[in-house]
Amino acid sequence: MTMARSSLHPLGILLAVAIALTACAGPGGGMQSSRDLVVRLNSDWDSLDPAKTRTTYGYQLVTTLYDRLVTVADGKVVPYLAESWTQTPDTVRLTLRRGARCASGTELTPTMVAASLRRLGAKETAAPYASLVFGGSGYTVTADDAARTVTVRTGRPYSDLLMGLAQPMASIICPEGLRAADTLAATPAGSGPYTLAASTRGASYRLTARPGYTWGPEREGSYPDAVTFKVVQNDSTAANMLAAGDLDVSWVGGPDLARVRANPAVKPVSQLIYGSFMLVFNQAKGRPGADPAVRRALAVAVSAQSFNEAAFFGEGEPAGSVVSEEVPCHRVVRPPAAAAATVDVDLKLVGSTDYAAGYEYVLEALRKAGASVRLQLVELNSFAEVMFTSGDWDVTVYPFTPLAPSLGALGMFVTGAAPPDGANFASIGNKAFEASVAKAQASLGEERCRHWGDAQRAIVENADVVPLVHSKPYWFVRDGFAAGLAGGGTMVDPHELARR
Amino acid sequence: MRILSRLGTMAALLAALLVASFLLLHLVPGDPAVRIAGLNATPEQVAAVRHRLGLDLPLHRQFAEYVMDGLRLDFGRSFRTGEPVTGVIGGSLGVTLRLAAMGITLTMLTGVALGIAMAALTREGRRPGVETAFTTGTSLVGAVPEYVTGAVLALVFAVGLGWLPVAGLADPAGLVLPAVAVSLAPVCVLARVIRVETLAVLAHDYVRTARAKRLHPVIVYGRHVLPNALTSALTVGGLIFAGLLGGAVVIENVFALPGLGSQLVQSVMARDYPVVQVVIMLLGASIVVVNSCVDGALRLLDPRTRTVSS
Repeated sequence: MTMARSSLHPLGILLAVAIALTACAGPGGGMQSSRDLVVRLNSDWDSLDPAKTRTTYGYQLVTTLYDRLVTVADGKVVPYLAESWTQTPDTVRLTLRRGARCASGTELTPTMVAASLRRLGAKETAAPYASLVFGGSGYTVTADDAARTVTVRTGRPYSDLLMGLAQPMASIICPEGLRAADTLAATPAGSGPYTLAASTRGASYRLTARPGYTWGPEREGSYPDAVTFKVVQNDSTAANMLAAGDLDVSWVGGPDLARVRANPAVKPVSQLIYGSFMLVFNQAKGRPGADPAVRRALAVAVSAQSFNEAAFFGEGEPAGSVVSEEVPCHRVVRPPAAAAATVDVDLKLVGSTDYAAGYEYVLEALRKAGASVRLQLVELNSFAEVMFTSGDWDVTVYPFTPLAPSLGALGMFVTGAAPPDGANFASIGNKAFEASVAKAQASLGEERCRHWGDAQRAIVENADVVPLVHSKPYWFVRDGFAAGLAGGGTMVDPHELARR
Repeated sequence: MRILSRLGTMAALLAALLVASFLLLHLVPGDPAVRIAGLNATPEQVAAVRHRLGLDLPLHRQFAEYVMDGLRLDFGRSFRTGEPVTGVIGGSLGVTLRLAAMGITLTMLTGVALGIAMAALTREGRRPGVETAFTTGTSLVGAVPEYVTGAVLALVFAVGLGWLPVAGLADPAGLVLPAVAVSLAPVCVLARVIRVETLAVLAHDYVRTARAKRLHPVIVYGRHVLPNALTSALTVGGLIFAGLLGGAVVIENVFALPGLGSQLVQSVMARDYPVVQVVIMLLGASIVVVNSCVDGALRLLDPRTRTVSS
C-alpha cells in the first residue's frame, strides 16, 4: 500500500500544480468556434499557391479556397466553373457558367481564367506539376469573353488534358493574385467556396463559407459556415481527438485504426488510391535490374498479399494493375508467370520509413529468392531524393499515388530521360509502352482505353513495374457530419463536407 | 570583471552554436536546391535555385552572409514555404517557451517538495519500505520516455476521463498534460537528488541544534534545509531545462502543439535549412542563457560558491 501511494505521488502533485499554473496563465490563442467543422490536416502545408504547392496538405487548402474548371466525381470529369465542353485529343474548349466571383468580388471572366492557366505553365512560374495538366509539349490558351469560352490546345495530342484541368494545380487564380504572385504562397486569391479567415501557422486554419457561393459542383444543402483544418501530425493523437470530439473528420491509419473502428460515434469513409505501390527495379546500366530475367524472377518472389499485410495491416487490395479500379481504362494485367528461381545478385533495397514493415518483408522475400540484399530505410523526402537524384538503389517499392484518376501521370516516371535530366528514375525504356501511350493520348473514348490497356500490359509484362497493392486510406467522420474524399482518398472533398 | 568573464563565455558558446548549426545542416545528405526546384526540374532550374539561395558560394562566404544577415535579424526565407523565417517560426517560440517554463516550474516545485518530503520521512533509516518504494518508483517512472508518458496521460485524462483537452492550445488547459508529460521523468530525477542532498543537510550539526531547540519543523526545513538543498536543485534544474526542451520536440508532436519542436521536425524533413538553423540557434541559446542565469543565481543564493570562486 505504501508503495502504491508513493508511486502515485509525483503524478498527482504534478497534475494539481499544472492545473493551478494553467489557471494563472489566462486564456489561450484559440480561434476555433465551437460550431466549426474540424478536419485533420496530417501535416502543415508548404504553399497555398496552387501552382507551387507539392503536398497533399497544400492541395487540401487549395481545393477549399479555389475553384477549377472541371472536377472529378466517381472517376469521371464533371462540370465545375465550366458548365460544358468539347474535346479533341489536343484541344478542350470549355464554356464557363455565369455568376462566378472572386473572393474580392470581381466577376470571373474567361480572360481571367486563361491568364491563370497561362501562368501555370509559364517557365518563370516553375510549377512542379504543370506537365501533369498540359503534358510536356507546350500549350496555348485563348479566351472569348462574349462566348464565355476558354480554349486550351496542347502542342501534341494529350487526351489527359481535360482530367488535367480537374487537378488542384489547375485551380483558377483571380487577377489580384496574378498581379501579386509572390504573395500567393500565403495569401489566397481564389473564387472557391471558402475564404481564409484566420491562420495559425503549424496549428490551425479557419475558413469561412462565402455567402452566395453557387457555382461549385452540384451538391445538396449548404456549405458548413466554417471549417477549421487542424494540423495533427501524430496518428494516435488524431485518434484520441476523434474520440474526444475535437476532430470531426480525420484520416486514421496504422495501429490506431482498430480502436477508431470500434467507436460507434464515427463512421468510416474510404476509397482505394488511384495508383499503386509498385515493385520497381533500377534498370540503369550495370544494375542487376537491367536484365529482364532477373526482374521477372525476383518479381515472382514478392507476394502482393504479404506486402499488403506488412505495410498496410491487410487494409489495401492486391493490385491488378498500376492503377486501381477507380481509374477509367483500368485493366487487370498480371506479370508473366515465371518459374521461381534462385537469383544470385547483390541488391540495394531502398524504402521509406513510412512503410518500414513492408520493405522488411520485401527484404526477406528477395533474400529467400537467393539475392544478397541490403535495406536502407529513409524518411519519405529522402526516399524521393535517392530515387530522383542519387540513383544509388537497385530495387524499391514505389508509391505511385496520382491525384487524378488518370494513367497519364505514370508516363512522367517511366518514360523519357533518367535523372537529373528527367523523372524516369528507374531508367525504364519500354518502346511498346511508349507507343501505346502515344496512341492513347491521340485518341478518345473506347479507343483511348484500349491503348491504355495495351500500355499497362506492356509495362507489367516486361516487369518494368510490378504493381503490388492499392492502399486504402481510411477517414472517419463523427456523427452529425458528412464527408467525401478527393485525390484518390488522400484528402477531403470540400464540396462534400456537410452537417447532417 | 566576473560578469564580463561570464558574458564572454556565453558569447563564445553562442558563437560555437552558430558555427555548429551552420555546419551541421551542410553535413546532412540531400540537396535543398533539388527539393525547392522540384524533383522533375531541369538541371538549369536547379542551378538557378542554387544560385538564388547562395548555395553555390564557397562555404566560408555562405557562413559570412549567414552571420551578417543574422546580426540584422534577417534569417532569410524558408526554403519550403518561401515565407520569411521569422514569420514561419513566429508563435512557435512562444509555445515552446510556455511549455518549457511550465515544465521547469512543475519540475522544480514538485521535485523539490517531493525530495524534501521523502528525506523527512526516511531520515536516519526510518521507513525503509517508503524509501524502497520511492527509489523504485522514481527509477521506473524516470525511465519512461516522454512520448509513452504523453500517450498514456492523453488516453487516461483526456480520452478516458475527459478532464483535460486531448491536444492543441484552443483551451488554456491544453498545456497541462504536455507539461506533466515533459516533467514527470525530470521530477523523479530531481526528487532523488534533493532527497539525498536533504538527508546530508539533515545530518549536519546545525540542523540537530535547531531540532534540539525545538524549532517548528516549518522553520527547520524552510530556513535551514531548503536553502541548502536549493543549490543542488538549481544546478540540476539547469541541466533538466535542456532536457525539457529536447522532450518538448517529442511532446509537441504527441499533443499537436505548434511549437519549435514540431517546426524543427518538419523543417529537418524538408531540408529547410534556414528554419532549422534558427530553431537550433533558439533552442541552444535558450539553454546557454538559462544555464548562465543558473550560475548567476547560484552565486547570489549560495555564499559558498562565492567563497570558492574568490
